[in-house]
Amino acid sequence: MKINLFVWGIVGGLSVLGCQKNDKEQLDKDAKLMATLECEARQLKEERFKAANEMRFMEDSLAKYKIPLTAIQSQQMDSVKNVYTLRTGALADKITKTMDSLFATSYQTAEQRQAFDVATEKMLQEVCK
Amino acid sequence: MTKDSEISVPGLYHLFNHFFKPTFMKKFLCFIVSLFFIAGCTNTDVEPTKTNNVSNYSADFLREWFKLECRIVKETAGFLPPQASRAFGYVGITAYEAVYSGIPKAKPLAGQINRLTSISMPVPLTQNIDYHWGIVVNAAVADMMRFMFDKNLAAANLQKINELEAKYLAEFGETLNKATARTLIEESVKHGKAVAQAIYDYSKSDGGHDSYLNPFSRPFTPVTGIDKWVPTDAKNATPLSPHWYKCRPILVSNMDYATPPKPLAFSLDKQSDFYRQAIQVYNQVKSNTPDQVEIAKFWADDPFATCTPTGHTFNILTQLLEETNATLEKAVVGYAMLGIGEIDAFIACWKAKYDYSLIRPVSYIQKYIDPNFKTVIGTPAFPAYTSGHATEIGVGERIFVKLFTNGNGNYAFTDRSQIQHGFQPRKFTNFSEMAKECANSRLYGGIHYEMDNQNGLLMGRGIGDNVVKAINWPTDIK
Repeated sequence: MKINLFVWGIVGGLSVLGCQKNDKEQLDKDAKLMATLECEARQLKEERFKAANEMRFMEDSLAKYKIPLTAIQSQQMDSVKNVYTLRTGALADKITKTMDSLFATSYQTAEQRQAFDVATEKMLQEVCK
Repeated sequence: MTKDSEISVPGLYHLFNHFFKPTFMKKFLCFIVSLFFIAGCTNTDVEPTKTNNVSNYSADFLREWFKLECRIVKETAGFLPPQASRAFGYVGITAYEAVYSGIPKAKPLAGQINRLTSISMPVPLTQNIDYHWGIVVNAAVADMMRFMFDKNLAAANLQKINELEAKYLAEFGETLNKATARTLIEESVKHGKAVAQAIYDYSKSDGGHDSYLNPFSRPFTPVTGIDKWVPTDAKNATPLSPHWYKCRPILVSNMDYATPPKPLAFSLDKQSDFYRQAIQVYNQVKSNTPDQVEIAKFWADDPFATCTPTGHTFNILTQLLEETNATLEKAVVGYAMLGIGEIDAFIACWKAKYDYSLIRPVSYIQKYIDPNFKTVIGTPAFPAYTSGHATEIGVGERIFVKLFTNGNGNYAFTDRSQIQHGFQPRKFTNFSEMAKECANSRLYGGIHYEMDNQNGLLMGRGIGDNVVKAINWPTDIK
C-alpha cells in the first residue's frame, strides 16, 4: 500500500512538473512575442510624441506672434500625422489581436495575466534596450 | 469483474501495471486522475444552454465590434472627442435596443430616453420565431457603424465593417438548424437593421448629425476678454465644437449636472485663488516625476493615434467585460449605459466650457508667469473649464462601479488598453482611483487647472449615477 501511494505520488508529481515546465516555456515564448511587439509600440510612441512636440512647439511660437500656419505647413503636418496614425493603428491592431488570442487560449485568469504582464515587462527590458 | 470491463489507459496503464496487479477500481482511478492531469493543461468549453435569452449568448463578437470602432475613430477625419462620444454612444444604444426583448423583464430605451418614442421603433416578433440575438446585434451594430461614420468612412474601413459583419453572420449561421436557418437569419438581420435605422433616424435630429464634417463649426467668432480662451496653437484659431452644448441630451435630467459651480474669479493678483490655480499647474509641470509624466501621456489619448477619451473608456469596458466573462446581456447593458453617459457628459461639459470660455493655463502662464512655459502634452483647442477627460471618466467610474462591484468600487484591475499604443499597463484597486488618476493627469500634463479636473469629475459622476438610476435597466444581468 505504501509503495502504491509512493508511486502515485511520483506519477502525479511528474505530471504536474511536466505541465509546469511546459507552462513556463510557453510563458517565456509568449512573453517574448508580446515584448517584441510592445517594444516596437514603445519606440513608435516616443517617435510620435517627439513629432507631436515639434509640431506644437512650432505652432506655439507662431501663435505667440499671431502668425497663422501656411497651407503648405498645415498639409505637411497632416501628412506626418496621417503616417503616424496609420503606422500606430496597424501595430495596435496586431498587438490587440495577439494579446486577445493569448488571453483567450492561455491566460484566462487574473493571476495568469498578472504573471504574463510581469514576464513581458521583464522580457522587454532585455529585448528593448 | 471480467476482463472485458477493464478500461485501457495507454501509457499510464502499462506503467502502473508494472508495479501492481491491476483491478478495475485501480485502473478506473488511474483513468480519472489522468483526465484531471490532462484537463489541467487544456481549456474547457462551456456547455451551451437551450433557452433563447440574450444571456445565453457570448459577447465576444460585440467586443470585437467596439475594438473596430476604436480603430475607425482613429482613422476617420472629424472624429474629435465630442463626435467620437456620439458615435460610440449611439452604437451602444443600438445594441441594447436591438435585443432588449430577449432579456427577461427588460424595458426598451424607447419611452425612457429623450424623444425616442416606442412608436418610432420596430416591434420585435413575439410569436412563431425566436431571433438569433447574436445575428440581430451583429446586423444592428454593423449598420450603425456605417451610419455613424458615413461620409468620411474610408473604403478600407467600410470593408472591415462588411467583413466583420459577414464573418459573424457566417459563424452564427453555422450553428443553426438547417431547416429553420434561413427564416431565422432573415428575420434576425431584418430586425437588427430596422432598429439601427430607427436609432439613426432618431440621432439625425440631435444637433450633432454630420458634425464630423465641420467639427470646429467654422466660421465661429470666439468671445474675447482677459479671462477668455485664446488659440493655443497656430492651426486652430477657433475652438472645437462651440455649439455642441446645444445638442439634445439622451437624458434631460443629465443636464442638471451641466452647471458646475462657477470657476474661481479670474485674477492676476498673486494672492488670488485663480493665480494659485495657475501657479499650481506651473509648479506641477516643473516638478513632475517620471511617473507623473507617464500618467499624463497615458491618459492623454495621445497625439493623433488613439480613439479619444471616450474610446479609452470604452476599451476599458471591453476589457472588463472580457475578463469577467460577461454575456451578451451584460455587454449590451454596459455599452448602452456608458454610451448614454458619454454622449451626455460631452454635452454637459461643452456647455460649461462655452458658458465660461475660460482661458487655458498655458495661455495664462505664458502671459503672466513665464513666457517659456511648455506643457507636457498638447493643449486641446477649446476652453479649460471643465475638463472633458475628468467628466467622461467620472461617468465611466460610476457605471463600472454599478456593473462590476457591489457598490464600493473595489476591483483589482489592470488597464491594458494602452499597451497597443506603447504604454505600460496601469494597475488600480478601485474605479475611483482610476478616475482620479485620469483627472489628475490633466494637471500633470499642464493643460488644466485643478478646479477643471475636480469639478469635471463631479459632473461626470453625477451623470453616471443618473444614467444608472433614471433608466429602468434590467436587473440580475449576467
